[in-house]
Amino acid sequence: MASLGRCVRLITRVRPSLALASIPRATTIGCLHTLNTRECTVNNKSLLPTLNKTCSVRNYSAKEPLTLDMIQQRVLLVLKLYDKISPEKLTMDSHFMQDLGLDSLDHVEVIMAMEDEFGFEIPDGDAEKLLRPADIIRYVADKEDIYD
Amino acid sequence: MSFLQTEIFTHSRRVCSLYKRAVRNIEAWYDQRPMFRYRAVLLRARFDENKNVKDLRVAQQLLDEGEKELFSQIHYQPRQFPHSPGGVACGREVIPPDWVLDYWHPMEKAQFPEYFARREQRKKEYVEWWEKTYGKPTEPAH
Repeated sequence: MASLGRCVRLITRVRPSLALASIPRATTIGCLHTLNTRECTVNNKSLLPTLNKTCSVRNYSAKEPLTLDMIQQRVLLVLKLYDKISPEKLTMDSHFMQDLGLDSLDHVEVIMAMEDEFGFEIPDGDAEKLLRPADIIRYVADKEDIYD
Repeated sequence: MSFLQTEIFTHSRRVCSLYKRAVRNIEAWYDQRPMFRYRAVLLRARFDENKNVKDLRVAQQLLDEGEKELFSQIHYQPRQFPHSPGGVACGREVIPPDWVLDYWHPMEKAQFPEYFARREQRKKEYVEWWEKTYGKPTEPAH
């Protein structure tokens, strides 16, 4: 039972993240799980009682649905978890270098965390222009074609 | 022709690029997250101790040594994101260019009358904007 649960979780997890943002993603993982499952028949009658075992039939490598609000929550969560940023000073328009006192290498680390979070690479030319959380959110929404 | 230098990169930009590639390299070698974070912090300390070097020749030399060291320790199969160059999904989905829509058959275009009407309007506005910014073309269009 535990191994089946683990297997279902592995199948429905789209990409490994830093174990962050479990709150906004829980609903989407739930709906991915219910779309592509069916009831498995339990052959082994002796040991276990009849449980409703579900296993995934098809696992498409689709991205989870995103809205502007979710992107904003995820970006702000990642930034709050970074220990060089104090969460009280963090707003949507706080500049990394001037307001939050970050280094250029810290900025690189922030951009790498954003790449890991959203699953696509941000090239250096674009990365050096993303100096506020609002810029990052707009960039991610542009790349993922999200308008609402 | 790839030897032609088309862009000038500042020293800080090159250092940031080296740092990013080095951290991704460490992430490729150490798959356990705590080990990776430990090694990444050590690398950051190495970068930080040379942070205040003012002499650009020394800085350039350090950068070159760093690049050589990264090249010697690069992973044989680095982890790449799907849509980045070298990843599995790079170039998988080809989005056709916009001018292809002009070559549709009129029967197909009649299925979306509002869109194509708006498109013609947009094209006219674009030509007006162009002629206002850059002037009328001297040679006639082919």
